Amino acid sequence: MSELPEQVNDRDHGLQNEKTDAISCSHVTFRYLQQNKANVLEDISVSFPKGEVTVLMGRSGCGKSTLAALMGGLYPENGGILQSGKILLMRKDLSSYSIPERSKVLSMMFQNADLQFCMQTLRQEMTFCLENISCPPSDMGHRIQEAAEKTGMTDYLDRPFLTLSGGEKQKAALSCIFLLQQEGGGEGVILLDEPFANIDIDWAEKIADQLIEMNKQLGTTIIAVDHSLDVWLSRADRIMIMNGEGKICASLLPDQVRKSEDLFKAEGLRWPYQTVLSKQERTKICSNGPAVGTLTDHLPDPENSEEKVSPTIALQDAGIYAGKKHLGSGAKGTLILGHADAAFYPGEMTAVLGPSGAGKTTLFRTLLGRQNYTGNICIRDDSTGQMQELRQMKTRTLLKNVGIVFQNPSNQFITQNVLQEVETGILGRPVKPEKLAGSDTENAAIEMLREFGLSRFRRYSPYMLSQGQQRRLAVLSVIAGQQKVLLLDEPTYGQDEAMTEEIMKILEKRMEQEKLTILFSTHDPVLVKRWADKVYRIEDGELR
Amino acid sequence: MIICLEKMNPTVKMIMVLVCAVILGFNRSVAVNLTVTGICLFCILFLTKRSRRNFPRVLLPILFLVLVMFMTGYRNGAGAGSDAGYYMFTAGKTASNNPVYIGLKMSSRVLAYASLGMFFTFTTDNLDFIQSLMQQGHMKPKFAYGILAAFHLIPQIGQELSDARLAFRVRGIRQSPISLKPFFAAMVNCMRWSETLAMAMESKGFDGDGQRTSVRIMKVRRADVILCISFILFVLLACIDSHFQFIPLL
Repeated sequence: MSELPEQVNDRDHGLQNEKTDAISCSHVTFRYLQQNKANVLEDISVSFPKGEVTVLMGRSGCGKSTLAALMGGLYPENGGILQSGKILLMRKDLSSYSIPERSKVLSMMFQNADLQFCMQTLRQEMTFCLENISCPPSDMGHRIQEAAEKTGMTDYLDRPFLTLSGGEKQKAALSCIFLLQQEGGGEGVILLDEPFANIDIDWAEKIADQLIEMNKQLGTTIIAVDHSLDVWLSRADRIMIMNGEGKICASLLPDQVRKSEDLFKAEGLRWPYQTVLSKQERTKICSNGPAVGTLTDHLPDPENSEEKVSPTIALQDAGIYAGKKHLGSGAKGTLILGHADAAFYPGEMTAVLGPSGAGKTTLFRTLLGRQNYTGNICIRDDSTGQMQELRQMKTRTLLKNVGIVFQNPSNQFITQNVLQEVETGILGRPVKPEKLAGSDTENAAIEMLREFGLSRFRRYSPYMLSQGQQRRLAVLSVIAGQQKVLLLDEPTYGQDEAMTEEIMKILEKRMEQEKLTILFSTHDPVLVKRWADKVYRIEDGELR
Repeated sequence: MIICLEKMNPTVKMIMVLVCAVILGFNRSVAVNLTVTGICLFCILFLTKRSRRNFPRVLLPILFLVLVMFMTGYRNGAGAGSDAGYYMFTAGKTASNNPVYIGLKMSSRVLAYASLGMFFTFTTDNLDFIQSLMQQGHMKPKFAYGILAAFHLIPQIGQELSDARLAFRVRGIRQSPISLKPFFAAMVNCMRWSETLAMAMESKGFDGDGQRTSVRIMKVRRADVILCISFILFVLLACIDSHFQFIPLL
């Protein structure tokens, strides 16, 4: 570790002599609020050479997104204090660019795709982008079509964003990036903050290939913030690692990654050579349907076991519909999953896979009684031990048995500080924090926060946490509850490897102790291989 | 006529509606209010191709408000011992102090205003409106797109509220339908959304004051001006006539 700063300097100096930098930060120190105890970024000097693909990695909450937003020119104009330092974009001071000028050179994709559209449909949003940079109206149609084709979004151009899945929204945001870059001639910079977090691996690779093609043909500089190198390892020119103090601690060439296992582990990151799956292996995990043998060997076979285990959730010929539940006139919405048969058992962790927009979130919402369905879905009521048809269950009873972690963690929060959020989960009712001071509940909540690396934020508002920290808190607040079925909608996206491991270990521990039934959706085959007892895949309207 | 209403320049249409609303402010005739209402509803129901799916949902609360206003006028506007009410609602003029008439006068005014609003909403595309405000009204894009973003926030608020309610219920906390806590959580999310949205718009090259092209070119046609002036004159003359009774029609 002591050699690492040297690695950074050597590399940077070398590059600066060889090529022009697309972006360079010199001695950047940044904090969000004057009263904050520490800076988010501390004296960062880093340069991103023109025409290179760089991946910026680091623990969740270490300041990667903040650095990206600073380089994107969004801070300090829209918040925070740049205490010192200078950022150059194409050798020109970033602050001297006008906004449309900057957009032609630099496009940025935010981490949370939910929060980046101001229009109602992708076509309107893309038109808005082109209007902003004064593209002639006659050129707009085919440019929009071309950019949408690159991300497979042509069929979604006129669908309201509100009806798109998380992954589809990310693909929509990437379409806007392609569009702006095309218009700028492609020689600019693309900043991507967790671009593939909600996108299935096949599409992530296709889009990454498009980005690399742009990089090779036009010399586009790509800077991607990511927690995983699965997509980037064979495509990136450089991998930079930020440490917990908000400093760049290493800058590696891809072939140096193989020798850097200790560095990755020390920084809580996934070392790719430990977990990279072959395409066949990935296909096996993602496509082979339920109960992949090797994954379920340690589980009792519900059919043959002497002590027969009855399922907690059973789907029998279930058809699941997307859209609003109450449409009137007997309408049910759009059928996204037909003739689904499945059973989920206590003490079992099931991964639900599928391409973006396949219906994973809708399946979870159905199990919460929020969507229309046909056929039978039965859930075991823990208080009586009996299976009950979902339609006949009272919402209160259902939600006593089933808990969920939403895909967007900020939808999860119901109190105004982090500690209270966990305490409310433990007690199942809101209590004034002063009444719990020094109580067992408070101590238990603090201990749980400590396990999740959140104890120092316990007086913060949940909304002040980073995306990854918010996700951890959302998981924590739900596992603090008493439900026997937990639905986790992409529980580990935006998390570093150490935190992913921590979250999954705690989930597994709770599952074994309390015989919980856990269903989680994900696009990460490594996570599935490591933790899932059983795999279901939703594809082409079928649950396999 | 359908084409005329669909394609009428939104800024001209807005001016027409606003001027008519001001004129109606001075009107005392139930008949004029009901005539304006009738024309607006006719246009919405028969002279537009835009979706009217939300029409009943919008109309119902308005009818409720109309009923409330009618009852207010009917119960408190006149009758034995209610001289104060009589003078308040008739402004001391020799109008009828029949309680039904006073109720009708109050409620029909609300109905006329609401109908003008619905006429504008149900016959205008919001994107056309924003473009027209920028092109004809010379409104800065910063404000125009601010309005548009706020408009698009409405379904988002509904979704956020639904998610916030679900979050409370999943955590075992029962909330009454009128509890403000889910509203608060939804509002916090919406505020965050609006803050991030400003940055997202900027990252897509949106400069609140700068030059930009537009795929929708909004024009003011002669037919728009004629329709606007004709309707304003019609409402104005109807009001004058109802006051002076030159022609005893309204």
